[in-house]
Amino acid sequence: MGETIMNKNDERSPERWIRPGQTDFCPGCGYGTILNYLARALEKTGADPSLTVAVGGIGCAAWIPDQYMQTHTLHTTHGRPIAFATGVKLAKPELNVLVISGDGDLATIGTSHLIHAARRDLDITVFCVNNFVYGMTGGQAGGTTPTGAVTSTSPAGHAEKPLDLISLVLAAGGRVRTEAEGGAEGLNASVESDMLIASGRFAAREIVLTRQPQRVISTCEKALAHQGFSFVELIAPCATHFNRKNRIYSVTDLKAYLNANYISASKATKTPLTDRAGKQLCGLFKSKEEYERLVGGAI
Amino acid sequence: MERISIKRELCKKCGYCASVCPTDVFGPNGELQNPAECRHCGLCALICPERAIVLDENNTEKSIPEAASGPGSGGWNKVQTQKPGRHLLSGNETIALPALDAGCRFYAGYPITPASEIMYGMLGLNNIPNGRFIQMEDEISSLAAVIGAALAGKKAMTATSGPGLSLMQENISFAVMTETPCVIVDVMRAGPSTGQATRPAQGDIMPAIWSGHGDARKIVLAPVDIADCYSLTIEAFNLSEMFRVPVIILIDEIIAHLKEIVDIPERNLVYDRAYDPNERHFGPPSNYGRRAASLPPFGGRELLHVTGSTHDQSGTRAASNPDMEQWTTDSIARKIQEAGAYIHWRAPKIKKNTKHVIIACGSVVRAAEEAVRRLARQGESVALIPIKFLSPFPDLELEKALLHNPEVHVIEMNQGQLIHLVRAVYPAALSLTQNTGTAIEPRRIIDYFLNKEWERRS
Ligand code: SF4
Ligand SMILES: [Mg+2]
Repeated sequence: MGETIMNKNDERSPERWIRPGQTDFCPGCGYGTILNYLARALEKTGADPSLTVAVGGIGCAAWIPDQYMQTHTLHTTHGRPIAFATGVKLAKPELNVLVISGDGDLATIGTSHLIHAARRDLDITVFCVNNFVYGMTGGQAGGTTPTGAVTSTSPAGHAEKPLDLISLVLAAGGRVRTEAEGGAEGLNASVESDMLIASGRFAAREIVLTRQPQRVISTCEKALAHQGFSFVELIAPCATHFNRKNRIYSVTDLKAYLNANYISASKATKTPLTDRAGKQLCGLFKSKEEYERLVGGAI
Repeated sequence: MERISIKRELCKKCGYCASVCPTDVFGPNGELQNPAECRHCGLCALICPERAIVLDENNTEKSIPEAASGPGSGGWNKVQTQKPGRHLLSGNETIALPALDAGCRFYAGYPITPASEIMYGMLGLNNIPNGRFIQMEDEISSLAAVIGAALAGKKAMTATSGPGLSLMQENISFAVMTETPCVIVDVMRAGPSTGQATRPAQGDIMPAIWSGHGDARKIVLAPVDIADCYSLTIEAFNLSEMFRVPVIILIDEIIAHLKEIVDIPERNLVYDRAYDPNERHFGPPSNYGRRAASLPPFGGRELLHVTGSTHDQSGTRAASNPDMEQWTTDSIARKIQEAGAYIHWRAPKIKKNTKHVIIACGSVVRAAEEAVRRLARQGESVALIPIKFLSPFPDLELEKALLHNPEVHVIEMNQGQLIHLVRAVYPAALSLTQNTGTAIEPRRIIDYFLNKEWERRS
């Protein structure tokens, strides 16, 4: 059951993707787990750390690449890692370029770059770590904070509606015509012909604290291997600022919260809409229509 | 022997392991309760945020890829130009040519009046092997992409006007902090805000010099004609690569759209980025000469860690060390000084008996040249010092040129910006400004001198 975690005969190990030592994340934070998942997913793709550039913005999630990953790393300005990654990827298409950053960074201050990278079908992988708040600055509400959640800027409960990032990315994701289809004509010809690949859309949502870590790792691996733009939203509520303010005091409480608010796509297909109202879907989605059908038109 | 152990020094007692373990190996805080129950499924090791759980005691830390040498060591090269000979071109049409001749292979930009023609010129990148052009979603991402491409090893540029320069501020500061070479062209239009988008002004002199928060020093060049648009763009790339600093080329809308004859040489001296694997890659290099520390590109065997946080010479974050902050800002300021020594600009010779000296930059220089000629015919003794290097400002050279204490007049198309740089050298300098969104004409300057306007004003 499960993979062999450490194989002493194998020169390679997921550990080679991680700088040694303890992380600075708070106890109970899922970000160290994400680091662990990413290392395993990267190792499975057979990628080379020296041909990999991990780009982060500002915030706790951006520390996953910037402080702990043993690859080339680029710790950019707030909200802009996808834009920096665009330059890196276009300048050196042979590099694996991944962005790991938070919801406030990628989906609030920097949303437009997420939309446009998806639209361009740029061949990078974006991991958006969603902890529902701005963790590093003290737990303020952001673009993904659930309605009603208590945060340091919504002490009476957040009044606004959160962005559904899967829906957003699937809606924005463009399919660029291949050269055979005449897509290589026009001003961006050289860019289109070898960078922008007609790949279909790729958007996934996974929960970090799960009994099926292998599934999350496999989703991350597929995202990394996907040719064209791929997006993975990783749900890991901020232990310090979100959980405590919202009466989640233990790992058991957290699991209960996640179970109450998320459902896997495979389970959702077998569950009547009324029995899963208000729950967000987890899984891998390749078309907006498929996602909307599963959500039941609720987005 | 147990199959499972916990590295206590790493554990934060979060209890993630207990929540996934199918048996009762762990207590609620991750303590090993029933290790004999372990079925070696590995879920706990996967979920542990600190990688504190070890399932096989024989596991050893794996080595990281060793550093090896990357691309060439850089330096000066004589490079053939693409379109040598005589051309009739505007400033905006010109700038793409020297950029490509200097080895620029990446352009990211966003449309804005009156700079868009520079972007059209850079479309030529699509016909060059390894050339990349991309139109981004805004100016913030344009400069971000430029910096990303530069770190991947390309010479890279963007062009904009005042509103775009405003949007780029944060990433300009990032380029300064991370010592990333890049070139930014700012075509100045009349402002503030949207102002008069098609009209000339020089309101971005101070905003360009002081662009970017946190004392982010950089190089700012200001061509006065189309020949300068060519040669100073070559210079901009060379300075940027040598000193690993953003260089802003500042032109006003008149220079941008004025057509003039320009002679493009057969060859240029072009500086290519250095890479020395034995060097540390941030801050001054050990053998401090006329270049910054060398930079390994993304994708080389040596892993490069780049951060906008204060960092040490290896790029490791040092965000609360006072000495490191002082050292960082000192070394940035020192690089700009070094660039000044390298540029070694000389003021034109001025006769000791010259009563008046005009100091100007950009298109005002051209009107002033004409005014000086006509004033000379009327017996007025007026000389002109054009300023082409705004940062580092050539204060020592200027001081020497003004030793005989002439009356100094700074003429510019704004509310008075260059005057502050000149007054730091020569406190008695006088100011003539015009901010009408139209050129300062020779006639205006002649009237100013013939009527001795400065006397009436004080
Ligand atoms: S503040 Fe929140 S997101 Fe940041 S490390 Fe702590 S628990 Fe994790
Ligand atoms: Mg967040």
